[in-house]
Amino acid sequence: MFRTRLRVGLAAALAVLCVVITPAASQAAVGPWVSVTIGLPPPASLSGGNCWVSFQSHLDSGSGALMTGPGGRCYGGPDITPGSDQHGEQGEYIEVHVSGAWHDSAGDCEGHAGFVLGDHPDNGTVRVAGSIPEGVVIPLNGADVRDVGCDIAEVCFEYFHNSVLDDSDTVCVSKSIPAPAETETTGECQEGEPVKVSIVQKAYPSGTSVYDSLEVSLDVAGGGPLTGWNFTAFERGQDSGVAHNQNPGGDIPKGKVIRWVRREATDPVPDWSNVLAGVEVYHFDGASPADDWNANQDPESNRLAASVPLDASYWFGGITDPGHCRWWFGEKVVNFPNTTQDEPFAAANSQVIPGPEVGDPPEAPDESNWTPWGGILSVLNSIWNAIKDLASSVAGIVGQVVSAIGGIVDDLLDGLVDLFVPADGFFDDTLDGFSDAMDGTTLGNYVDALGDITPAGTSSCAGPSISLPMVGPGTYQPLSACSGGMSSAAAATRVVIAVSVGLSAAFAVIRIVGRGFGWDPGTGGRE
Amino acid sequence: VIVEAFVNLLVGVADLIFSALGHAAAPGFVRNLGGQLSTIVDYSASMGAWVPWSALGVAIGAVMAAHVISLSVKVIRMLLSLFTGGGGAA
Repeated sequence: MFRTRLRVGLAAALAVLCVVITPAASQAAVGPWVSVTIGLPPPASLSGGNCWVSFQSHLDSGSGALMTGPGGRCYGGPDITPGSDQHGEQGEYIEVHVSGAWHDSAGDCEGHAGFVLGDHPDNGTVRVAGSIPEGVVIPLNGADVRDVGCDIAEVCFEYFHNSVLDDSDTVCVSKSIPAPAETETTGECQEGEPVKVSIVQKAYPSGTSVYDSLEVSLDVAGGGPLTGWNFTAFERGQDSGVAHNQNPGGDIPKGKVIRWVRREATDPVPDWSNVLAGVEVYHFDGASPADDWNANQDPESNRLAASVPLDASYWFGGITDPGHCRWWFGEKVVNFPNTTQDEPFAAANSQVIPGPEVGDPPEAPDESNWTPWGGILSVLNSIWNAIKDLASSVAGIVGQVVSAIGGIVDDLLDGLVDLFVPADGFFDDTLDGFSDAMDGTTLGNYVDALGDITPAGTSSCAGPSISLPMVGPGTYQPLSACSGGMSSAAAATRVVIAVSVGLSAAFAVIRIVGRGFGWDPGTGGRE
Repeated sequence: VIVEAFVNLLVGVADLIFSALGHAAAPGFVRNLGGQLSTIVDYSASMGAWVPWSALGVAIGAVMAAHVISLSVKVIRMLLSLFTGGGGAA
């Protein structure tokens, strides 16, 4: 009973110890926290740092984001939310917001965002490399996404450490956009309202004479094309407003995308801020595809244009008209109940998610943005980290105890050596002093009188010589064993004596040494 | 150091004994004793054909070494018993 109670008590004490130690051990590994939000548009500046994040949006097989930290472990539970459900149709965008609190022991992180379309040939990646300061937004609406025409099964966020994929964690959410509340309606598409056109994709200046891509997207509402309209997209300033793409047919199909990819400028661009990219949409009712749009346009009344400077930013725009109300980006101007098509994309901004103070554990995720994967993985990650920290702590304690015991033993042995082992030369000096003390004394005189005891002759097979005057002159050697039967007898005697002495000595050694350990083999019992 | 103190104590006792014995000269039979012992040793050495003196020397040395080892073990056990509360006392 007592032993059972003792075990229960030890188990309870150990459990309490684990509870007490685990948070402290986990907290000890926590350093600066970095909050990350991935969505639209991209951050303008990302630089430095020791970690990086890559976000991959898989249209066919889901998406993911990678986070690594060559300077240390990146902790955190991401919370990802697809910001838009504009999926599956040509010309639409993908918008995914990911936010989470991250920890990097090195202090900061870098990131790049991208998307992968599974096995789709339009796989592409939009990367924004650089550090991720306190809160960042990474875009996923890459140029190649728009013509995919496939569905987004899910959006995932994957992060790992030191580029080790096996050490990664993934959080996925299914694509969904909640229906907007009716109270959020801000406008209606009215007859006569101007059609808005905007550039909807980023231009990536590269060097001074090229840009990697420029994409312009137009969309019309409903299921049909925007009949009677024409448009052109231009880059003005460098090529003097030359239209690089146009719609000579007069109809603007749904999701029309105008794209330039890595356009080479004629001359080096001195100042990209003076280069404009724009879209002009012209409306001329009754025009046929064969009509010259330049001849039929009415620039004064129906020309709709928008142009923006080419800097490293995103612009979003849309096109609306009284018959084809559809609004994409920017301010919400129309309300379609029970649908999300009229919902604008999120405003282009970066959101900073305040992280906890340095050394504090991550805050509990917001329930409104909580995702099952994020929660589960966050908990599992925390448990795993706690286990590792606890194991590390126990190992450290054991190591310290062993080291301490080893130190005590070493000190004890050193003390015993110092206590019992005399200094070098002590016995020689003592013996010399003993001899000096004995010299001249009675005992010393007796010892000196004995002198050296040395044999007079040499050993041989002849044996000792004995003189027997009573028998006769001369000496006798009765034990001569140089030949004959005496030689054999002597040899046999030597063997018998050697064996006897050897066995006796062996038994004596065992008994003597055994008695030193308290074991007497002669009696079979202890002393 | 305990051993040094112990040996010095023994040397002091020996000095005391030596001084107490005086300084008498050894008598004649003692002076002749060395020669007689040498004769005995000579006889013994001449018995090498019959007696394996080397084996005896090894046996005697082994027994003496065993006594030294046993004594050392007992001393160590005695010292360890000081730290074990008497457990394993020699």
